[in-house]
Amino acid sequence: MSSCVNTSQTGPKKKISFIIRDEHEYSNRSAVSALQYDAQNGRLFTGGSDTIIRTWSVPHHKDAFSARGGVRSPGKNSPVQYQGSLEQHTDWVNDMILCGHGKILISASNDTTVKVWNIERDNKHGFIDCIRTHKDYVSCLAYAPIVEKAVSASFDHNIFVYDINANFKTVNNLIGCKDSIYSLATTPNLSLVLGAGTEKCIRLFDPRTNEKIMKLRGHTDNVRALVVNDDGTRALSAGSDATIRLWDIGQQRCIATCIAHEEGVWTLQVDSSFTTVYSAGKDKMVVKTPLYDFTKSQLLFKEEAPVKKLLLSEKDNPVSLWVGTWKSDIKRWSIRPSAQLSIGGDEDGPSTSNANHSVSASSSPPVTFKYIRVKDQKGQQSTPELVIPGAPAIKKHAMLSDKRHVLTRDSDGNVALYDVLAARKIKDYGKRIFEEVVDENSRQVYIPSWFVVDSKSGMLQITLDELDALSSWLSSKDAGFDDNDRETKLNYGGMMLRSLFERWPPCKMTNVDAADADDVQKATLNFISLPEHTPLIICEGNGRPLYRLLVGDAGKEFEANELAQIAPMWVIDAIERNQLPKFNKMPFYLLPHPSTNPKQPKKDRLSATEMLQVKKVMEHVYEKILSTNDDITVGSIPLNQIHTKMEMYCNDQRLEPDMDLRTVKHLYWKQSGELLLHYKPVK
Amino acid sequence: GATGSSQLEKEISTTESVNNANEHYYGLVNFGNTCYCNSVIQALFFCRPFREKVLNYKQTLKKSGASKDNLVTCLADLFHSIASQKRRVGTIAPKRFITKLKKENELFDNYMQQDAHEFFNYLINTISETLIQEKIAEREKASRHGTLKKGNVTVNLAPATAGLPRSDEKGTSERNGGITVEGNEFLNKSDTTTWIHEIFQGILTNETRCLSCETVSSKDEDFLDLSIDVEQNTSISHCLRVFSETETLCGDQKYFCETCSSKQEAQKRMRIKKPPQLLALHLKRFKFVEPLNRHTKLSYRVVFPLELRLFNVSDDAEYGDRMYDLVATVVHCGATPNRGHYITLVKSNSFWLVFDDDIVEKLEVSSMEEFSGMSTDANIQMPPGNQSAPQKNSESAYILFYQARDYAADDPNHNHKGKNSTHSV
Repeated sequence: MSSCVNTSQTGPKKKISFIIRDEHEYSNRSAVSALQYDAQNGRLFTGGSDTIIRTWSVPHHKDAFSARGGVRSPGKNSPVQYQGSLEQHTDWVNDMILCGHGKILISASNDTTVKVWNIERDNKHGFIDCIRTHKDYVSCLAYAPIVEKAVSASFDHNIFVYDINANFKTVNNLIGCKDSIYSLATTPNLSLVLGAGTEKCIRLFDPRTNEKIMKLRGHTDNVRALVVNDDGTRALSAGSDATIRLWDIGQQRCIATCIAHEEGVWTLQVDSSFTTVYSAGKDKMVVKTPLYDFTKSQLLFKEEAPVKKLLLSEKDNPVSLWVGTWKSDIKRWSIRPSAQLSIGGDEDGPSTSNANHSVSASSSPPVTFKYIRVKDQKGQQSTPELVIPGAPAIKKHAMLSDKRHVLTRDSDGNVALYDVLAARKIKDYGKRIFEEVVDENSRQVYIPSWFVVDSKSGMLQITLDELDALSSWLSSKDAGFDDNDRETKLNYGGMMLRSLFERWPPCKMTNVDAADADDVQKATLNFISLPEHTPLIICEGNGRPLYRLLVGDAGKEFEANELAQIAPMWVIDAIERNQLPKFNKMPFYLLPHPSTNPKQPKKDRLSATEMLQVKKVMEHVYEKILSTNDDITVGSIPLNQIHTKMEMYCNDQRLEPDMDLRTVKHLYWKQSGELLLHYKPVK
Repeated sequence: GATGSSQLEKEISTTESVNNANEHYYGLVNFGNTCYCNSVIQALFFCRPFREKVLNYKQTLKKSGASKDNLVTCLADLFHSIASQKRRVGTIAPKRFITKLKKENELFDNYMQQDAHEFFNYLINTISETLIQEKIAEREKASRHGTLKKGNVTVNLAPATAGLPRSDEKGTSERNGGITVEGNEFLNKSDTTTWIHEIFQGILTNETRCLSCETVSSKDEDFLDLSIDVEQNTSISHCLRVFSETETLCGDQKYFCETCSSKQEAQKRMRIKKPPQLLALHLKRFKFVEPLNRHTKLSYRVVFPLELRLFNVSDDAEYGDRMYDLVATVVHCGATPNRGHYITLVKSNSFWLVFDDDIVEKLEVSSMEEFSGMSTDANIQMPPGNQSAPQKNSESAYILFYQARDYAADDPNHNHKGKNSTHSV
């Protein structure tokens, strides 16, 4: 594995990321873009935006019918069983291929890698290899079973061919595409590779010579799906221009264009005899079209959300279609009119009549269909025969003003609160108005940001970078930690790093007891132990992942050694050498309040740490400025009573004694230039 | 000169139709490199809707009995004195206006050549700013009598900078010369919409389509003029096409898609959602060249049509098929932005005129093309014997004023025009 890790010392600085999630993510969380079905073993592989590839055991069709109406997983009585997961990707999984006689799965991801998995039954070690030849999102894969080669294409304009039997060695690099590639196809013997994308034209390559053979022009927008027949004479393409096109490769021209869809077409499936195409995309319609006549499109069914992926469960005599959409549910729909009839007998009435109607329609001459636009047709199916229910995905998030908690709302509308320092969800609010809960949880305080949040996977991902991670100092009181010594300052980023690397030996060694701790050590002393299953990702400055491990595995020999090589310097400095940045100093001016009618206002320029509380400034004014004034007799006064002696203003707003200077600056001063504070003694 | 004027007088009297015999053609005296100002004023004078509003402003002011002294009143006085001259042709010295301009903005307070487009921006922004302030003042006056609450009024105007032309490398930010007013509860849209906006304001829509989910998000922005990049041997249509060309955000420039909650490739384009009544097209001929550390002029030949129909309009555009007629053109002459000269081509009634400071001459439509720019890039190095040709060709259209045909017809002031100009003292 270390071979695929290439430490780049130059370029943008490395970042650290972790994901807040459950130990076992049994359900798919977000959009599903990749599906593969191993008919021999009855296993389905799913992948998508939540980065996790899952394996499901799927019953044969007979069993499925008895369990219509949805299944639960994991559950003992469910016909679809969650088997396991393959977790190494750190961004959307876009495509998968099943190869090596059903023993190997290859996946492509927005994390710019292609990963190879051993999927033999009862195999514990799934992960085999990580291929890092691409420099941008890897969008699609293709498989040539006769020669056991895999093909990948990416937004980086490159197409690579890998030899599955030779340790996935890269054997070809097909160059010629001038834009991002969104779709790919190959013949079974790899005599022909087709790639297309935002360039709008389809490029054909001969991998034996690495030559560009031709390009097919016709699409007016991004080409997002490609299929080629086994002998490489016909190709099908579909794209954002809402068309499906049939190409004659020998003649180098488009011989038919299907305009059944209303919006972009994103996925195509063709049966093995190359006679029927199944298509779907943004308009949610799943359409079946005979290749001999592109005007005879039929609406099979309409999905709830835009369709990212269709998969025929068997290509020789297709009876059902797996569908992945923007939603996390994965469905299997029957596409056999006869099957629909047989189920119809023990199902609800409307569905039966519906099925009857469609059957009679498709068996009668297609004249009845000819003038009905697909979107006006009634779907042949109304319910799927199988559903693998998904879990909600986080759709919205807001970092709270305490810079420790993140509030989220998921695709079901449920609001929840997460503690970043603990990498856990701490509260469910149910269905509430998001902004309201944000307001409820916001305090009048300014703390510098030290991490960024994203929810591209439907789960929370927290990222720390060198620039900001350690910039967040705050008093332990502001942080809500019980502390006798009120002066203790904490560093959230420093604590987070200690939490993340708690089990890593170099970090462990520098952990100390509270009693012996010096000020710098105290800053990170209160770190929280994280769930061991929390994935920790070290990535390049541009987000490309370098290494992924679980927080709990950092103490294992292999992972520990990897970390020693790959951990960024700024992380090592912080946790091994206890190096934290100094407090930020902030200059400000002190002036008597205009209402006190000062004769010659003296402007005092001072400088202090930005965490200095207003009451300390008051104390300074009381002891150093007002004491020189003869009118006021100065006695010693406890700090928590100082506000009874004077008031402090900024931009005419009276300040709370517990507020610190940076909060005053951000909430009241709100401008560039040095902060101006006015004091007014209370008589 | 006087003889030139009488020559012109003769020429126009033979070509002019009877009902439009009131038009005045007056040259403006140059007070030392003030041609940037003269050229824009002439162009605006012959943008009829603008002239009417400026003259109306003076009338209203006179009626109310208020005496004001600002750039708008100075301009109104200048327009009025041109329109109320007895003779059809002649010269006039815009002394008060120039003095006021130099006093109001120190960037113009010198004898250096200025960018006519900068001046145009400054002028229309200042006028609308003045009008907004007057509206607010009126409202406050009303509120003192009425029950309206008082509030803090903040008027944030787009920076009307003048002086050297700004860098043209990424001109998106300067597209918007619009005015935004914030932070007042009862300052509604009608307060911020002045006749400057009625005349010049259009809406651009910035459409971004995520290539993953194919969701289109669009953001509108107001503009008072459009700045477009120029290319050699092209046309206005071509430049507008480039302006609205699709840009793909990819590689490290990926777009954060709200629907996908992640960075995706996207395609972006800028289209016109509402074409203005009077389209001011600024050709970005002054380009900042990094190695030279100064602006150079792109004298490229860009053919401009006398009739224009915008095609880069969005699908939901109002007046999307508006037909425009060229009414005035500010032309820059010379090879560098800091030297050189500005003149104005103006269409009045059925013929074209050239205003070159105090000199006014008739122009054949056929010679309009000479102001398109130079078709070869060797713009300065010409053999000494061949001096007339480069001079002629370095005269290149810089700001084009296109007036919507439907607007000219609908303009209620259009009929009163004769009244205003004859009713003078």
